[in-house]
Amino acid sequence: MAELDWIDAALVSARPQAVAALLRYFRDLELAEEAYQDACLRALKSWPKNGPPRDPAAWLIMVGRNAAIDSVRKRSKQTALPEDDVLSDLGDAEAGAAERVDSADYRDDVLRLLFICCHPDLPPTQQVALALRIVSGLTVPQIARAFLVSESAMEQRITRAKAKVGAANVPFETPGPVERSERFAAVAAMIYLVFNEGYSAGADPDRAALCDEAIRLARLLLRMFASEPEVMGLLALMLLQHARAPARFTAEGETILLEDQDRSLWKQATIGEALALLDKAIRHRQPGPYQLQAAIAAMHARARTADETDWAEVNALYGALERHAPSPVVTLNRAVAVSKVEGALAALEMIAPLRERLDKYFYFHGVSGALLMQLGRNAEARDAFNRAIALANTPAEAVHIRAQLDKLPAERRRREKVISQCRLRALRIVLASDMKEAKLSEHELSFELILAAPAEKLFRCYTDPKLLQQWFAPKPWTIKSVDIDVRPGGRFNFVMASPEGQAFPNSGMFLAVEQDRKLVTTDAVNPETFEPQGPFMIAQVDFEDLGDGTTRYRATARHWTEETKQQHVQMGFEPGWTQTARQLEALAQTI
Amino acid sequence: MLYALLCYNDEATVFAWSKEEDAAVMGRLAKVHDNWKGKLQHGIRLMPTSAATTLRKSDDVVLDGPYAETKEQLLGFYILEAENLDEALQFARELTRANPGGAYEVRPVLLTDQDIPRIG
Repeated sequence: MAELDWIDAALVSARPQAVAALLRYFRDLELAEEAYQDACLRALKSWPKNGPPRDPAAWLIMVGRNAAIDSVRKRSKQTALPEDDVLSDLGDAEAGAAERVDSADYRDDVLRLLFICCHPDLPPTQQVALALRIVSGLTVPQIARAFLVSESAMEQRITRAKAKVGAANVPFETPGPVERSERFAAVAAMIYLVFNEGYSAGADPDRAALCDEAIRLARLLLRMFASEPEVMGLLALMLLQHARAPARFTAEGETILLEDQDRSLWKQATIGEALALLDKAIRHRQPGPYQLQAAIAAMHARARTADETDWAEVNALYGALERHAPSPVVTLNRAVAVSKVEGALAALEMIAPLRERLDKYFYFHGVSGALLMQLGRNAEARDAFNRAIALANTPAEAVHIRAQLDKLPAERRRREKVISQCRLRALRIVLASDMKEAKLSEHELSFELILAAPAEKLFRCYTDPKLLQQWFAPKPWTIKSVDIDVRPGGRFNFVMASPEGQAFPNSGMFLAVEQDRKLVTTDAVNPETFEPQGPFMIAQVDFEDLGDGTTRYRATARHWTEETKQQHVQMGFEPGWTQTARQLEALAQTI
Repeated sequence: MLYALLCYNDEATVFAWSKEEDAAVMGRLAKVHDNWKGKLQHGIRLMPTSAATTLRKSDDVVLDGPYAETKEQLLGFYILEAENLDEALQFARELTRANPGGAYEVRPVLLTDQDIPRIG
């Protein structure tokens, strides 16, 4: 590791202790921060030269304190001390501080610093921002990115928060046991807020880094207060949730539900640490909300597959959590476990009384919908899902519910009905044409080629939009966008662009799809309205895999009238389609 | 001769490493481990001290956290596959009956040299 990296890591890890001790000394947040910054600057000068100090936090506290006293004196226009020999005898500075740093009130410094950040007058977002700035030392731009707000807005938010806590007069005496336990509860909640900011951020790495920061703060707290079972529980809970991070999202950033996650991606070392912490916590026999939530998360972590989850135990743990920290959200979560143990109806009855309080809560309607769907009450399920979509906090949540909605049998039937209707209409057009004696086969253009690629690959190039886009336009023409739903009755929309950039949209429907063998489409029907749109042709491609890595490829275009057929010839049907077929062949050889 | 090398560092700093830094250090260590293949028997990275528990042997008291006294010296260690902390403590108590005095710190193993992903 480069020297600067080492110094950086040492400064980051020493920061909470150092700022906290300086705050006790100066009783002023601004001054403490300034003193710490000053000490860091001196560290950057001194450490590469003199080597790292044995105890970086003690060094920073001592140097920061002396530097700040010096600057306060200068500012107050008293006789400035002779350029203080702060840096000249660092060995002594360290020795003098070491004893105090080990003392018990020093731990309360850090607790106090954290506690100041979660002052009850501050809204949760300000608490988190303040803690990240003061305790973690994140820069304002970093925090602004994590909250998706502008730097100036975040700067203001932090300044306001600082002013509020500055005026709040948090006592600096060593807290009594009751006060200390109140501080623990507030600080734990704030750390969990930091974590949840990151956890709920989806796949965004800037924001997900907040999870690591929260875990680091909890470890710090636990190193100092080693026997607090709820801090163990909090750390275990965050580790268990964080262990699932690699499995929580698809490549497109969509949420993957716990039961659908690939559990082999869960970080086993992280789970191991969490389970070790829970083992420790349980020995204290003082269960609390964090320990119980961690124990529930551990039940999931221990199950190798979703089916192996011990739902009866999860239900029992939620029951205990309801007693320790009653909340409609806990009951809602418990209902999921109840549905697995006692069935969906029992779960639905359990959450019915919550409706009034949770009516604005996305998950309530999501869970209701899922339970109603299990019971086959599809109309009610659809209503619940629609309500959930309206309340979704992120696009990923909405997409997830949309997928649920599509699972509804009624919804599926409705869609299938629409699709079959549109197929009928398409056929009717064909029939109508036929009845007018406009025999399509009489106005047919076709050609055949042997392509040096297996049918399976050629078919894939036709049906995967990303591949289709690469070959479907005769170069130098290009395909600007592709939207296809490859199944009978499914739509296709694509926009072809000329080399000059002029766009030619084209849309229609699939009439027949046979895997690796046949695709039939028509542009005669508008895929959105299912209305006829200037009937032009039915296009068919047939693939016959010859088994030697080549495929007989036949392209056919049937037209309604001789006029449109001739028009197509003029447009260069055969050279154009042959060129794209060769492009198709070339692409298929690369996949 | 078998030698045990005991690894010391500032835990707060090590756990303040970014993922990339951590992976880089682990990758470099793995290369050294490979150079000593055949001679190196085990390499083990422990979980942070926050995951540790200490059994004080004189009065059978279980304390949270690492063994923090400085008047005793590290005289040996065991690697034990145990179901959970209780089982590990049970082993420690049996050892205590055979050998009173001092303490056992029970610390879970984070990973072994075999678990370190090889780079390049």
